[in-house]
This record gives sequence, structure tokens and C-alpha cells, in this order.
Amino acid sequence: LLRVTPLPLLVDLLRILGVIRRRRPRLLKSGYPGKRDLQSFNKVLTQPLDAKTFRSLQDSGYILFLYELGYQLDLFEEKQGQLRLNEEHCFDFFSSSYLQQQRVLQETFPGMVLWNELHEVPALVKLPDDEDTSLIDPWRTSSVLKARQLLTEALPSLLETPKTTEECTDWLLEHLSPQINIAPQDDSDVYPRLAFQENKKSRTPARFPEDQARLEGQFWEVLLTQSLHWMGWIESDMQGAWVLTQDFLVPRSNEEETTYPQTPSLLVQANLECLLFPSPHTMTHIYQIEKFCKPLDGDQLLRYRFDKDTFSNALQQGLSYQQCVDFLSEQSRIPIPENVLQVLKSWYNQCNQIVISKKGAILEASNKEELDQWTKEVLQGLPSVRLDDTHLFIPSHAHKQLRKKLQKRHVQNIDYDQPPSRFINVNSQLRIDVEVLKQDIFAQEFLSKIAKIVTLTPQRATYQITKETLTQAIEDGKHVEEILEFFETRAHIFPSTARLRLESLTRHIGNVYAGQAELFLTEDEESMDRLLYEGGLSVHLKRIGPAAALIVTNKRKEFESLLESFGLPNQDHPNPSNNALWEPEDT
Amino acid sequence: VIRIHWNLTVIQFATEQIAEEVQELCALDEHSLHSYHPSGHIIDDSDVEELVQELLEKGYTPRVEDCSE
Repeated sequence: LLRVTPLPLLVDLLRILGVIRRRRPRLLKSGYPGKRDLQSFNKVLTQPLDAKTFRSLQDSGYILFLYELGYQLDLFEEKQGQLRLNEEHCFDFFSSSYLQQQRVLQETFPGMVLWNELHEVPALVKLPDDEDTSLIDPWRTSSVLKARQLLTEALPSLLETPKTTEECTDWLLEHLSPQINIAPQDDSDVYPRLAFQENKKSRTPARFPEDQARLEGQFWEVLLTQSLHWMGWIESDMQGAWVLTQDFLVPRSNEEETTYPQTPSLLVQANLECLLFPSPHTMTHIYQIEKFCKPLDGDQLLRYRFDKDTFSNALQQGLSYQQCVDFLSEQSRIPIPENVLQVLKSWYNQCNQIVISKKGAILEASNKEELDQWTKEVLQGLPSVRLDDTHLFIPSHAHKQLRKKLQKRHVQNIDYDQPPSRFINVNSQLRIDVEVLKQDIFAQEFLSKIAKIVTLTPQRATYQITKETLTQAIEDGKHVEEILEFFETRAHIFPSTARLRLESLTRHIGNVYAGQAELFLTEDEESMDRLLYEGGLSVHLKRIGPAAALIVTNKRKEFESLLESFGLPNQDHPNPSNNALWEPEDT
Repeated sequence: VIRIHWNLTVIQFATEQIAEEVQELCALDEHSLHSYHPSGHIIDDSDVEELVQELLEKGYTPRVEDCSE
């Protein structure tokens, strides 16, 4: 009476759950996972479907059936637009006894609302809802659920003796149709909202009784040959006729729950493979081992491989190395080969080289004593990790508790989901005044790298940016753009003079020279032209306007003697013409 | 004075040497908001995915713990 070999449906369901555990599929607008996730579901099935035969979850047949079953069993749920495994429910379901599992499945099956056998009847299509609203919609979930319920109840009498699919559908048509809601109602001879799609252009409404066998017959046939067969409740005997299985009968009988002792069912081999033998606890073992081992093949005897990706992924999902080794040690028929343990340990060590703890809160105190006091008095019993003297990490599962403890206490909340608040005043001399309470965790370190601290009180801090501090910061790898962005996003006002000064100090303004130079002026442009080109002064002068030029310092003496030869200069004081210099656009 | 910084992630390296290695290979500085220790950094939650991807590309296998669960 006991099934020891795993039910393929449950193995496939477990594999899909494994994909959900690893990938956390993001749901599309339709509420279903996308095509890429669907392909991943398909790949892990014991017998993958032809991927070309489906484009979405809705038309994926067996995968939709498994998905809906898992959903109805509450094994996964939607959280922030992603599918997440409900590990607790998975553990409860797969660790329960064979009888309990079957009872749960029998309760769940009639309520699988997403799974609709009508969709699986070839060429049958749904007519648009607005064609005639007076008709009862057979696609309505309740109609299909009722039909499925009726069939489940009728199964024992139907399969009292083995029957072929044809005999079964005849029996069902005779006994159940038209009590079920997929049949026409109110003296109508047309099946509501059902049509056969003959080709791309023409649709023929399904009529009663002409299409009854084709429609209802195929509907029952799908129920028999797919749904019930997948559930493992019926199977074909040697002659190809359907008979009921123990999986259907035992949970309905008054069979008492038997507790079977745990017997080792694993064979861990030195080639990094592992065999799982059938046992009364097969499903529990499959559930455990598939968390960290890659399934290879097998039917009654399942074969697994230790694989770095799968193992690392399991560790990332929260499984510990010790849990894996404990499970293997408990279940293995022979001692675990030393090389297997070594390999697992090395993967574990690699995984532990970098640990990233997401979505936490950092509690920051002004000094060690303050943090000690808070840890002792306020945060007692709260899970936390001390990072250093003034910082404490609190994981987000404890945030509700933390918020409660923080009520009525004066703390400054800084949320990194929001843009940084403005808590800095910068003056044109690059003196920075900071409201310490509002300061984010990045700002404190950043400011200490680009400026030197002048004064510090618990409420306010003053920093000064100097050429030296900036040069050091740039040498340490900071970029000017980064510094400018810092002030643009955090300063109440970032004066343009402060910005210019910052850019100048970091040479972002370009080369600027200020020094002594002497001016050579003429009355007008023509005089300048003549002296430069006819008089040969152009080698000593740098023209800066129609009637102005700078004297090149290192040729001063030659210039003076040449100029003197013309009897120039003839003025003691500069007397420039109005247009002596070029306008900026002229240059 | 107590400040609580919400929605942050802590990245902890087993040794300072690994931290330095990652610093060079994955531009950790660009992601780090604060370093509480040479082998420990605080980063923004929104940077985690990108950093993990970078680490995986460089051959590391970081263990990511989602503290909300």
C-alpha cells in the first residue's frame, strides 16, 4: 500500500520549486513568470516538453499544471513582484507522510483554478465575452471546477472495472453530462462561448448535441489522460485500460497512519555522485538533497551530482555547510568519501570569502560608550552584529522590533532609499558647516578625505577645504566631478564662487598665468600694422588687439634699440585708442 | 547622538588581502559608502546586484544573505 518510488509529478514540482528558489522569477504584468523562467522550469523537468510548443505559462500545459498545483499548495508566493519560495510550507508538505501528502493533493486538485482542461481540447477556442452576455460562460472557473469535482467523486464507480479512455468518456457523458456547467443551458443548442477554430479565419460555434462527443468527450479525456494521470490516481494496465491506483484509493480508505523508521537511502560516491534509493521517506530526501545537489537522471533510483554552482547557491539561500554534511552523514549507507567532504569544504570556504548581508540598518553612535550603553539598555535581545566601536548592523527581519524600541527615543533616521538630505552649508571660501545629525554615512568619511576638520560638536562640525587637502584627495583617487556632485546633492546652496574655487584648486579651470608684462600701444590699427610688419617689430611683440601688443620680455633689449631707431616711443603715458584691444569674439 | 541608516548592505571579506584584491578588480571604492574596517564595507542596497555581478565575473562566489528573511 505504500509508494516508495517518487511520484513524477512531485519530483517535477520540487524541481520547479528549486528554480523559484534560485531565480526568484520576476512576474510580468500578466502576473505570470516570463518566458526565460518558463524555459528554466521546462529544463529541469524529468521529461522536458518540446520548448517550441508553448510561448507562455498559459499555454504550457503540464508546466501550468505544476505551477498551479504549487501555488494552490502555498509552496510559493508573490513578494514585491517576484516569486519567492515559502520554505516553511515546502518543508511541511514534503516532510509529511505519503498518506498526508496524498490527502492534501486530493483536497487541492479540485480547486486548481488556473488549470482549465477546456484549454487543452484541440482547436477549441473561447468566443469573445461581449458576443452574448446572456450565456453562461463555460470557461468560468466554477464550471470547470465543478466538472473536476464531479469526476473525482465518480471515479470509484467509473473504474470499478478497468475501462479504456473511450469507455470512460462514454460513461461520463452518460452519467455526468449535462449536469455539469460546461453543457448548454436554458434550451440552447449552442455551447456558450465555445467555438472550434477550423482555420485562421473561420470559427464554428460548438453545438449540442452534434459536437457533444467532440467537445465534452475531449474535455473528459483531457481530465482522464492528463490531470488524473499526472496526479498519479489512474494508470493504464497491461491491456491499456485505466485503473485506479493506490495513490487515489489509500487516502480515501480508513488506512491508519504508519510510522516508518528512517533507513539510510543514500550512496555517496567518490566520483562526486550520489544515488538515492527508494524508501518510505523518498520525497523528504529528494526535497533535502535537491537543495544542494544537481539532479542527473533516474527513475526509481535517482542519481545526483555535487556541483559547485548548485552547492554555492544553496549556501547563498541560507543552507549551512554543516546542514548538508549532517544530512549526507545521516542518510548515507556508507561513510562519506573523504574527497567529497574536502571538495564541499573548499566550495564552502570559497563562498565564505565574501559575505554580503543585504537590506539591513546601521546604527551609528557618537562613541564607543554610547554604543555600549545602547546595546545593553535599548537593543537587548535584538539580532545585531557589531561592526566597530560606533557601528552596529541590524538585519531587516528585526526592523519591526527595532522601530518599536526606537519609539519615544530621539534618533535621526537616514533612509538610503531616498535622495540624501541637504545638511551642508558651504561658503565661497570653502568652509563647510555640517549638521551632524543629518549627515549620511558616506558624507562623514568623504568630508574627512577632502577637508580638514576645524571644530566638532555633537550637533555641528566645521571643515575647511584647502589646496593641500584637495591635492591629497585627488592623489587618493577622488575625482573633482565626484566632489562637485557631493556638494550639489547635499549642500543647501552651493555658491558658484565655491564651485569655481574648488575647480581652480584642482586645476579644473585650465592653465592660468598672472605675471608682469609690458604693453605696446599705438594710436591706431594702421600704425600698429606698419610698425609690426614694415618695421620688423613683430618678432618682439605679441599682438593682443588692433592697436595693442605685449612686449616679449626676453627680447626687450633688441626691441628697444630697434624702436629707438625709429625715434620711438614718443609718449610717456599710455593713451590707448577706444578699440585698442580685440573684443573676445574677434579672438 | 544616535543615527540610524536604513537600507544598507554590509560586505565582509574573510581577509584584508581579499578585500584589497576586490578593491583592485571590482572598483569597490565606487560602491563603498563607508569602510568600518579594511575588510568591511558598507554599500547602498541598490548597488548590490551590480557588485555581485562584477564579483561573479571575476570568479568570486560571494554569499549573499537577504536579511529581510
